[in-house]
Amino acid sequence: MRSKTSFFNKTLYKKNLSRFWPLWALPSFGGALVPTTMLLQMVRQKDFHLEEMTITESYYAALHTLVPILSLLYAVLCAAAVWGYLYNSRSQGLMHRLPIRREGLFVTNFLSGMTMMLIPYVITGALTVLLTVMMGQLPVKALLLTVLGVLLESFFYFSSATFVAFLTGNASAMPVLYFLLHFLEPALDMLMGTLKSGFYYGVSGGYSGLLENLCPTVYLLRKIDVNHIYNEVLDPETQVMSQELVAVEFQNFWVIGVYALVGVVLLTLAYAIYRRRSSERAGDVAAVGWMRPVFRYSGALLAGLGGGMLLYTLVWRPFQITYDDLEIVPLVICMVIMGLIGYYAVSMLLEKSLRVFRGSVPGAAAVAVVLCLICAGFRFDVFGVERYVPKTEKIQTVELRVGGNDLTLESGRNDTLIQKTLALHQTLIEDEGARIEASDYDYNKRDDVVNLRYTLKDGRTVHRNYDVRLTWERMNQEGTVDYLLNQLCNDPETLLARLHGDRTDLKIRSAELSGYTTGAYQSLNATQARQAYEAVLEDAKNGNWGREIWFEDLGTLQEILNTNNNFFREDGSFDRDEILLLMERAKQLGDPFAELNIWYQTPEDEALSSTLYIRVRPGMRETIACLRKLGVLKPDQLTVVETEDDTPHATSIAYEEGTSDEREQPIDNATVAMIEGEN
Amino acid sequence: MIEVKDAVKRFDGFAALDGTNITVPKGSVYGLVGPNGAGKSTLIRNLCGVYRLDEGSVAVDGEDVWENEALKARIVTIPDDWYFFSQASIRDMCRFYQGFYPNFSMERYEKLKDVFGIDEHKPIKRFSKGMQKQAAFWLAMSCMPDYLLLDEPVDGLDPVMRRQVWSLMMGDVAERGTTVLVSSHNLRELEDVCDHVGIMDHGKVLLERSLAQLQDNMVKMQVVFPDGMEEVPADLPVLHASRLGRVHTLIMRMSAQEAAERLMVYSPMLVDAVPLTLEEIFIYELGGADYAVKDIIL
Repeated sequence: MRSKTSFFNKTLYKKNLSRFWPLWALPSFGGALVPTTMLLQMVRQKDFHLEEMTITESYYAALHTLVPILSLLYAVLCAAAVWGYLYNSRSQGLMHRLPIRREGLFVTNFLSGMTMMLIPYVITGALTVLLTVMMGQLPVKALLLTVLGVLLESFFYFSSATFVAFLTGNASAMPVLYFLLHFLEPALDMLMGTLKSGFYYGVSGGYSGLLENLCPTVYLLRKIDVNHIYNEVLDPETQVMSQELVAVEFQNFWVIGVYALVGVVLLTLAYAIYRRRSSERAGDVAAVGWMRPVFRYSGALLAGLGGGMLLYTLVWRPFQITYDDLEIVPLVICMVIMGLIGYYAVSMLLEKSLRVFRGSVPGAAAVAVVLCLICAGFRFDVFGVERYVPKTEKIQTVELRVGGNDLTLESGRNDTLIQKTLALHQTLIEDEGARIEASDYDYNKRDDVVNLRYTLKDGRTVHRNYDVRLTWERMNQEGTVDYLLNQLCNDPETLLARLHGDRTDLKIRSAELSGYTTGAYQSLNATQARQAYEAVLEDAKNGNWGREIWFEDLGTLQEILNTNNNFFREDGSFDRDEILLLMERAKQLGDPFAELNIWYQTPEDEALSSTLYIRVRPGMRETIACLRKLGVLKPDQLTVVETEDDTPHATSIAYEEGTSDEREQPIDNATVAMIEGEN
Repeated sequence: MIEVKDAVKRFDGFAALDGTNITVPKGSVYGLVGPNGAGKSTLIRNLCGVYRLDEGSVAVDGEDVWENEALKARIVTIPDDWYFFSQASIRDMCRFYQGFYPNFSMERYEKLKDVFGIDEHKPIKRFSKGMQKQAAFWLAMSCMPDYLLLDEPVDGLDPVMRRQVWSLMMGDVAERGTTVLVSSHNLRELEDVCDHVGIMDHGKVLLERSLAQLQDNMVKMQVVFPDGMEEVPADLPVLHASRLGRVHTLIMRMSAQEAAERLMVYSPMLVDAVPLTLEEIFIYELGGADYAVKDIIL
């Protein structure tokens, strides 16, 4: 008699589809609107046509961005429908009295849910394919890949919803738990980020994405990409390179495959839970006995961390001097309060009773202690996060951004600079004099951010952002952050590194010169761009480009100083009065410059095009000479002209024929000497 | 035959079944009685495979019910809280049951349509409680079960429909040998239909007998003793004695013949054996055991 075992029941399958028809019919209708609209456009506009590449791109874009989000939302609805019987003792009684084994119920209901999930995709997809065929296009590979992707993603999401459906016995708890599990990683990550940035100097908050593969939707959206492959085409007339799209590729499809495998695991776990799950748990928040303490304590800790942070922000942050820092005592109090509220709230849900206080003290105390330990761990930097400086031998690259500096240092190529950067990093941690303690503004000080990003040889990245307050006095004081920063940024080797001047394998693709005031631009082909780049390099070697100063109205002053390094002493320090004088004169001079953007590629990543942003000033003798030679800069541009009243004027750049936008402003002779002195 | 041996089922430490033992002979109508919370519904849910026992065994025709698809196809249960899909009509539920129960008879379904006389196309949720119960019986009887498990089956039915429903079930028992297990907390309800009775309380079966055994084992005698004999003789094994005028009513644990013989020794003026109701049997059987029998009867 036992030999008859069925894993699928047609009646139940059909019943599920007919009972929950709005669930698949409405999305199908919505999905069908897209191809229908296109069809109407085709009818109205007879020459309406899509290229195969565009269709491929649309398929991949849908798979990349739409499908994960739609499946995430749709899976929970379908799961709530087909597994809804588990949450009510009467409906569960009906299903489990029927002559069908749990396996049969599980398989049949799962297939029903999957069918509901896929029907809208199938209808929309079929109509779209029909439409594209009518246009004479059928990108078979893209279509098959998209179908497979939709199938696997739907399977993963519905499996995860099924797994959650079996963890709980309560219909309301099911979607909450589903979204909590799907977004627990970013929530915890951001919470930890807030704690880190609040307690650790230089460590940023926000989403680190350290374990972002635990958040499938975010990971699918970020990891998967649609790659456009272009061919470079040289225009024989203008000699300007342009790009032509030759292929569209779906990148990292394997990620979907891996999640589908995770779906198999989740489905197996769900079935195992179903075998052990007691029918009498219908209505309970935790359907499996061992999940009760997990729910209770994880709920309490999440409430403590998240709710505690919120409470702290509401009641304590407004009284702080520095808004982002965290003060341990009020934070602990807030976290413990919210942790205890969470503990008792979850207990009440689990016990389905308000009387949960008797015998609860040890559990509540454990929650409070754990929250205190977490706060203390951060406050006293138990794991040495704040103190951490990567070791030289572990570093692959270091990116340093501060002021006008933006450079990437590579191990083996810029070892001396890496050492100097590490020394600066160590000093940033130890030298508390440069830290900003209050938000008061001081004319003689400068607030800046030292941004360091290490890429280690094991693939990890370390990112630090140090808010610093630089002072004139400390800038000339050895061993301080200010001193080391000035030394590093104004080191000739640094200037060279900013331009990748130490590399011979840089492929200069093109460049563009534009006037700041007019917005007009002039394109340079690869050969011209290379010449311009080499001229900038020469200027940098001569000290006419890239010098960094830190005080006053540097937006203008710095660039002027970039063209003349006379004010810097040999040790890198400079005279403030001289600079103030220069600034005053620079104000009179105006702001003549042009933007030279040079696009280049490195052999390490040929697919990626990077840009060098160069601000061309009158003092950049080599660059200006080169640009004039190339014919993209007129002789009277970016120079100083004499006017009839013998007052020199600086001219800015303008390219549109007949609309020369020369800007003339009075300037005294001393300034002219200063600007052109070295040129 | 249904056999439950040493069944234990706990809910968060509370034992709803605490070593329950019952035996329901094939083709019998077994009345399971007990106060609220005695464990009757829990036992039935274990018998139909909804719950799984923590300890002990539940067997029907010698086979474990749990996940036994073929066996469950022969068992139909009408719980006290019968469930139907929210928009479903009786016809919809009929098609649903038809897809699961291989013995489902459309012929019987059509015949029963006239018996119950309710609209098979109307959503069940619009029916009164009594009509929903009728729908449950209609569908259950159409499944042609070998075992029919009923939990408070006639609650909400009017007296005429109660009689009708019991008559249908008795017909099945007589014609097809269907075994019926019916739980109730009302003895009077079961008295006319059951041939076996078990009484449950606190998760245990306190007593399990056939009706014949019960009636043979206990008797109610009405006696008028000769003049001068006012009290019941102390050597008589009487469970309960009461007096109205000169007539003594004695409940005795023995057959009517044996009781008459024992009383004749005292040359009574009148001796008469009166049949006991189930209610009285349970009162006197369990009266000394400090069980809440009154709850079962009231």
